[in-house]
Amino acid sequence: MRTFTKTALVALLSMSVLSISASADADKGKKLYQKNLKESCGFTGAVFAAKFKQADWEKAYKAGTLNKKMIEACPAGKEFIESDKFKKVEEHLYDFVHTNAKDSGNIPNC
Amino acid sequence: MKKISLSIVVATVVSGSLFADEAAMQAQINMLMQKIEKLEKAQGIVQENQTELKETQVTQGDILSKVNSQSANDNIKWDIDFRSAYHNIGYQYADNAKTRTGVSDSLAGKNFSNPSLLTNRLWLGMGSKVNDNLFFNGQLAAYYNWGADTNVAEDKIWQESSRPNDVTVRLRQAYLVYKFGQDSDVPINASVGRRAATDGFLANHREGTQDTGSPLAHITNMEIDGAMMQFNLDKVFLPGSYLKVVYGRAHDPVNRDTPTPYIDVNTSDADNQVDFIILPMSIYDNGQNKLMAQYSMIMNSKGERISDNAIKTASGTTHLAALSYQLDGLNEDIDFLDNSTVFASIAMTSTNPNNGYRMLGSTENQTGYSFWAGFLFPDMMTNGGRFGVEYNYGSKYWSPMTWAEDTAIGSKIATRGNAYEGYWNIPIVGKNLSAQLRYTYLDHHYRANTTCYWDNPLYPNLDHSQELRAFVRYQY
Repeated sequence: MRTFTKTALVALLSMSVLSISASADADKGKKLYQKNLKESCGFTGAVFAAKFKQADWEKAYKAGTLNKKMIEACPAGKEFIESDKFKKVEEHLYDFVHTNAKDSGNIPNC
Repeated sequence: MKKISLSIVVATVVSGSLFADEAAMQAQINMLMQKIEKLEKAQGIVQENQTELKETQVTQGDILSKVNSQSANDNIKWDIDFRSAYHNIGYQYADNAKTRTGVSDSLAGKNFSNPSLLTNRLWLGMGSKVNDNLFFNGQLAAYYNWGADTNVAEDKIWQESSRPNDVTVRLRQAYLVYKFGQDSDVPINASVGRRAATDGFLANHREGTQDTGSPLAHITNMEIDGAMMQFNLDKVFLPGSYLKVVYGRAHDPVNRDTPTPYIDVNTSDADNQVDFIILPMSIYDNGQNKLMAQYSMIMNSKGERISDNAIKTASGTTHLAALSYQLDGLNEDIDFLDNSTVFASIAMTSTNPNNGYRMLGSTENQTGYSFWAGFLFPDMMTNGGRFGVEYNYGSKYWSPMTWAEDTAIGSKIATRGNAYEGYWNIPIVGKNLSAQLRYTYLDHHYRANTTCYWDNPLYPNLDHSQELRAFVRYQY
């Protein structure tokens, strides 16, 4: 059975080499919203993401104007959205708003 | 004569001029005719295009009708969480091992192992949303070890979905949520059903899950049937704060196969209903710092009746409390630290037996304490993979309600002694396919904490237990 254990472990470690995880992370985007925008926006991340449809967020992201779209959704968050930090974490925030957009069909849990 | 000649000349000139005008007019008429012809052709093309557009609209309308008929009334959205795991588990009995009655155990000093326990777990999630304020979540579950027996002798579970026998499907979650007063200072969520109360706050890391439930896993890890009211306090208190009030039932002795269906008339066995109150509270949560607290009370906790040594009797009340803190992202300027997480939690449990009963082998109130800490950091090898290390300590009378914790060798959080754990969570294809390698070692200083409140911690059985687990998990 030692062989079995070794085989299982080697298989698992081999799979780790295949890791092709996308770097964008909706959960991380949610935390970034909570930390940097929730207080100034005055509403939850779910409300923020649902300001626009997936296609709207996607179009803005591809056009490089996600910051303008987010300011449109939350004018009070302008300071953060125009900061250098925003550029660094933009992809995570995009993943978050796209995943939870108005027409995403997502059902919250509680 | 001259007049006639002049007339002829004038007539000739006029007629010549008239002929010239007629030719020009004819040319203009021809040109106009050509234009009209072109316009008529163009109009024909426009009409053809309009006809095609109408046909396309009709076709799209038909397609929409088909989609509508297929999905408009399909009110459940499904998701899948499937996991296949390998476990290598082992137990070492203490040299002074005793049975629960305090007699020397014949298994003392022996060790046992299973180097290839294989399991499958399927969670079939379902959600239904009427609007933003009314929705339902549910989860059907199957979790079994390969080759396990069913309740029917000689039957195997690996034939139960292929040959007719029974319709056993387990329900892990099913609850509705109704939100109201969303414009008030304290919006409220009301919920009832079988609620998500496993893999709660801090236990999500060791399960390789980012989304965490609200109960504090330090004292609660079980599936709960109950009703819940959540008061969202972040407009009047601190960011991310809320209080949940949960009332539920963990045990009811009634059954239908009696002359008095669903009423337990046999009061002599003191097998009363076990109800509980749980108050989880998010004190502060800004996405990076998260502080939670919880108080719980279990009524009619199962202990031991002194008069006849009967166990599983309604013996008293248990109180539990915990305070847990997590810092997610230690330093924004350094990627390694930004993707690291550290957490710490303290908790206590208190058993209060009724007269004539024992809990944890004692007729007195007994208090247990516990500490739990962990650190997760990037593996620097995979994209998003993280290593995690955890340590737990539990004192002699430490007895949390973590009976559904997913550890094959028993709840590590409930360990009375030391528990050490290390794991590696590996995303393979984003979050859709992931893997985990986990090792858990439980160093028991007192009796292993595997029952409710009828065992005496002072009668030791296991010296230590260990589990190596590796899994691959598909989520979509």
